[in-house]
Amino acid sequence: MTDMLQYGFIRTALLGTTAIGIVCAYLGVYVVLRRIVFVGATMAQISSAGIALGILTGWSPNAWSVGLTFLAVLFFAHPSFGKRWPQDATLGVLFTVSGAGAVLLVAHTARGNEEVVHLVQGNLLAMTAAEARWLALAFAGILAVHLALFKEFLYLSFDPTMAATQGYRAGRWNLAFYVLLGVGVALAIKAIGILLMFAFLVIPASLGLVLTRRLGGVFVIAMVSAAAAVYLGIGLSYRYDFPSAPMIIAVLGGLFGMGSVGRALRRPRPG
Amino acid sequence: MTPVPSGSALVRFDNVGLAYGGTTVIERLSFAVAKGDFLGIVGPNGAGKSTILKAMLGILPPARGVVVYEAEVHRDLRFGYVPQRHTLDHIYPLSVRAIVRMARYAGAGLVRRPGADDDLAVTHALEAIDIVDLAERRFAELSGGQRQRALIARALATGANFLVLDEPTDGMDLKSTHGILGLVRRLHREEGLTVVFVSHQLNEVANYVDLLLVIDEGRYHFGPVDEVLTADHLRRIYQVPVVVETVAGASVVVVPR
Repeated sequence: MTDMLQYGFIRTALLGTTAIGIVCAYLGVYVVLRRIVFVGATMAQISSAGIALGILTGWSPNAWSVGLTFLAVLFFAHPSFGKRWPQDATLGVLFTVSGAGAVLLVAHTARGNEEVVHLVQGNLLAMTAAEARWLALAFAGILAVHLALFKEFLYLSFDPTMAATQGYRAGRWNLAFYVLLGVGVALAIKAIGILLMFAFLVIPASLGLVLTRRLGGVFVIAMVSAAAAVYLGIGLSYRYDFPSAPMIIAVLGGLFGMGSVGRALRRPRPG
Repeated sequence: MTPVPSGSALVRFDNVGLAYGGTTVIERLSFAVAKGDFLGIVGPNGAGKSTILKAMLGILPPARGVVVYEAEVHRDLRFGYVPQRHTLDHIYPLSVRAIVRMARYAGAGLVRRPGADDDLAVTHALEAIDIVDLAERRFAELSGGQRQRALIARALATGANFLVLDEPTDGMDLKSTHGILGLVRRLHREEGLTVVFVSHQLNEVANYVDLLLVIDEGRYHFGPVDEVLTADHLRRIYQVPVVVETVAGASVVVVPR
C-alpha cells in the first residue's frame, strides 16, 4: 500500500484529508456528547448549498459556504433554538430543503450531475497541493483554539448553568463553539464532500466512546482512528479502484463495528 | 407576606417578577436570605422554584422589581450551585474528580489549567462530603445519592459560603433522601454555610430548614418554619384542608380523607 505514496496527488490528498479528519473527529466528540449529531448533518447540508451557490454564480464557493453556514450557526446557537418548536423538526426542514436546493442549484450548470456527486462524495484526489496546505493550516488553527480553551468548552458543554453561576457567559461560549464547528464544516465540505465530513464528525467519536471510559481516551481514539481510516481508505481505493471518500467511510464503519463487537464480548455476562 | 428584613440580608428580593420570554412565572415576590440562614423553597412542579434560584444566582434578570445583594457582603458572597442531577448528561465519560475539578475552572482563568492549589481544594471538598473513595469512579456509574454528593462536593470546591441546591432529593428513596438532607444540615451547622434549597416535598423539607418559602399558584408565604407550617397558612396557600401533626418529634403535613 505504501507504493501509492510515490504519487504527488495521493500525498496531497492524504495531507488534506488527514488534517480535516483528525480535527473533525475531535470536534465530533463534542457533537456526539452534546447530542447535536443532526445539527452537524444539517450544517453540512447547508454548507453544500452554499458551495452550489458558488458554482452557480461563479464566485468563491468557499465564501458562499462559510457565509451560509455562519447564518445557520447564528440560528443554532440562539437561546430560543428548539424552545418554541421541536428542534428535530426544524433541523429536518433545513436538512431536506438545503439538500434539495444544492442539487437544484447545480442541476443546470455545465457539469451538473458531476457537481452533485462531488458535493456528496467529495473528490479528494482532485485536491491541489496549495489547497491541502491551506486546509491543514486552517484545521490546525481550529484545533489549537479548541485545545487552548479545552476546559471552557468542556465545562460549558457539560453544565452550562453551573458555569453561568461562576461568571461564564454561556450564550457566547455556545456561539463560539458553533462558529468553530461551522467554519470547520464549511471548509471541509468542498474538499471531501458531505458524506465523509459527516462520517468524520460521528463515527470516530462514537468509536472512542465505545472503546474507552475516559474522556481523554475518547479524543485520542477518535483522532487516531480518523487518521488511520484516511490512510487505509485511500490505500484500498488506490489498490482496488474504488472512490476514496466512500472507502474511508467503509473503513471507519468497519472499525466501529469491530469496536462494538469487541466491547460486547468484553462486557461481563450476568450470572 | 412576611415583611422583608433589611440590613442583615445577603440577598433580598424586592417585589420581584420573573418571566421567560413573555410568560410570567413569578409575580411580586419579596423575601430575604441572611447570613447563616437555612431556607427551603417548597411548591409543586412548575411553580417557579428553580426560576427563583436562577434569579438569586444572577442568571435570570428580574422582569420587574430588584434582586439586591447587600453591598458590604457582596464581595465575599460565593454561591455554590447544585443543579438537578438529571439535567447532567451521563453520556460524558467523566470521573467524579474531573467533575468536582470543574468548580476550579473559573478561578484558574482563561486558557490556564487548574494548578496544585485547585487539586488540593478538590480533595478537601471530596473529603468534606466523605466521597474520596468515589473520586476515580465514573459519574454515570454512581447511584442517585452518590451523584448528588458529588455535585455538592463540586459546589463546595468553588469555595462557596452560600449553597444553592435545586431539588437535591428528587426521585430518591427514603434512606438517600435523609442522607442528603442530613449532609446539607451538617454543612450548614458545622461549616456555617448559608443554604437555600428547593423541593416539592413539604414534609421532607420542613424538618430540616429554619425558614420556609412556600409557593403555589401565585400565592407565597415566607417566614420561620413554626410560623409557616400551620394548618391555617397551608390551607390558605394550597386551598385544601390541611392538618399539621407532630409524629416522633417531626412535623407532618397531611390532607385528611
